[in-house]
Amino acid sequence: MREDMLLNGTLDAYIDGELSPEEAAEIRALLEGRPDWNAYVEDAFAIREAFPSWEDTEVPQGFAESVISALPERRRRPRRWMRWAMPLAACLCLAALVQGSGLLRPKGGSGSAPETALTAAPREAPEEHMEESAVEQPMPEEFMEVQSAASADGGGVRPEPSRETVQSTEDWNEFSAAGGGASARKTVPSRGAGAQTPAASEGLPRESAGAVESENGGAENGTYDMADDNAYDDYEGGIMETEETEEEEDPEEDPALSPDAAWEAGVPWEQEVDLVLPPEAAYLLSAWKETEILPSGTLYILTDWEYSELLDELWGADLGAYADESLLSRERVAVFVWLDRD
Amino acid sequence: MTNWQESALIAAARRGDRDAFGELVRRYEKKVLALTVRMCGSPEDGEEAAQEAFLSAWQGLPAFRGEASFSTWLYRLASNAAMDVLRRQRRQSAHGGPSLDDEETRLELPDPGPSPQGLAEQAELRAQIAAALSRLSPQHRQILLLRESGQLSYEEIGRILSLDPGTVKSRISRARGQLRKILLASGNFSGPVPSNHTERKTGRGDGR
Repeated sequence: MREDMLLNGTLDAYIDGELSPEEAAEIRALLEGRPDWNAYVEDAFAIREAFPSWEDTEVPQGFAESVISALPERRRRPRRWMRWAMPLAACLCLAALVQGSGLLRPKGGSGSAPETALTAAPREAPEEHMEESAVEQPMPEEFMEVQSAASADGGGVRPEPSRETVQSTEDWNEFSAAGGGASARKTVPSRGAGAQTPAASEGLPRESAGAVESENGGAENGTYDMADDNAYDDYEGGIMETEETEEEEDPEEDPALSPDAAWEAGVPWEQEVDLVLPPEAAYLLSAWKETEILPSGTLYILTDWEYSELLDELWGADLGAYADESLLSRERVAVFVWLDRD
Repeated sequence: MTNWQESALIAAARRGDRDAFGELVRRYEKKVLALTVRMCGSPEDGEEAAQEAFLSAWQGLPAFRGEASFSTWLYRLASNAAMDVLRRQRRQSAHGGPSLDDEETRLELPDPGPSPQGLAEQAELRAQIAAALSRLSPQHRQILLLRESGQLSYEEIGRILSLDPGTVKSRISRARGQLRKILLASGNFSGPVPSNHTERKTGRGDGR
């Protein structure tokens, strides 16, 4: 052991328990013959004994509250769609409730038990519902602009493939009907289904407050039963955004569908995708606890903001840079995007 | 609070849940204040720095990747905020305090401590240490607070201060040496300890 170890910090590392047991034993042996070092160590422990502890710190009354009250609004991406999505959600829920109560009998209704507002795809009479919606809540101008843009484009291209634009249910319908869903690349069986739905096979949304599946003749097997889904318990209003089920042509063909590509292609807000996630992105998902293990993978319920975060994380990620492939996690993920609750 | 609960709070706060963030503030306010108040040398400045640290945490949570633990990250923010407050003080002060760029303490300063008589009492020694800490350079005070008060490992301190482990070790050694020197020079410190102190307190994880 070198004589200058006191100066180079080895003795302090010993004091702080940073040495291996073997190194610490060596130091202890040396201390016996070095009263100066021994004094240093003894003094250091005496200082530690009397060192001000964080537990002695007095916290001013109301400190946490003052911090909370001073919190600024986080800078958020603009979400113009909120202005029309919420009224639309209310209208669609109302339509579903009306149907469930029997006030509005769907064409060819089976007479089965009423569906809840969220599961209630008004499977046979979408026009009626949409008419009601239109009566109850005129479509805001912004939404109409989005719709017309989609129509003008033939629906093949998302009107504004930016992160600030979200397609509505109707928007997606037009988009899909015009072949815009062709960019959807695969379908994974939905929970409890295993079978593709007509809607799914057409690349159409499986459900979105009812209006979507109704146009496609219903899709019992391919639909999440949201009423039974505990993961939605704390949902506080709003409606799930437009969804899609992608074509499962060959699961082996392309196991890694990039959310970025999906976004750019205009794939709507619900996706079941196979993701190859670098650790930093995998952390994001693991930190979001609202998950559920499904037969088809893991369901992550994300807000639009969280989804943007995930996309940001994956944006430009060079997975090939990970020499250790074990760092990459491969997951089949159902990403739902929900309205923010705040 | 379990790690899972804390993770849930962090996740909620990331999503903008102020109540969840408030819980995190309550959980860490004491530790953060312990660092910032002693770093800054006054409760007022320490509270200001702590508040800035928590506000930085709120703004930075969306970018928090979890590569370090939340507490380590928060310590880093608190440490930076305290240093910022000290820099502002230095700019505003005509005569200034200890230089932020100077790791050496100013031993020539008059000893503001009380009489050496009766300093065997633990409480008095604690007051002496607190006074001596205020005479250290900010860097030395910072690293000793993280080590002794925060009970952080060298690795964690390195992450917080962006220092390599060797630098952490040498800086702690110099800081501890300076602190001891001040205490001994004041005549208030005799360092009496039990004979088995060394055996009891060393070793990885002791005192953490």
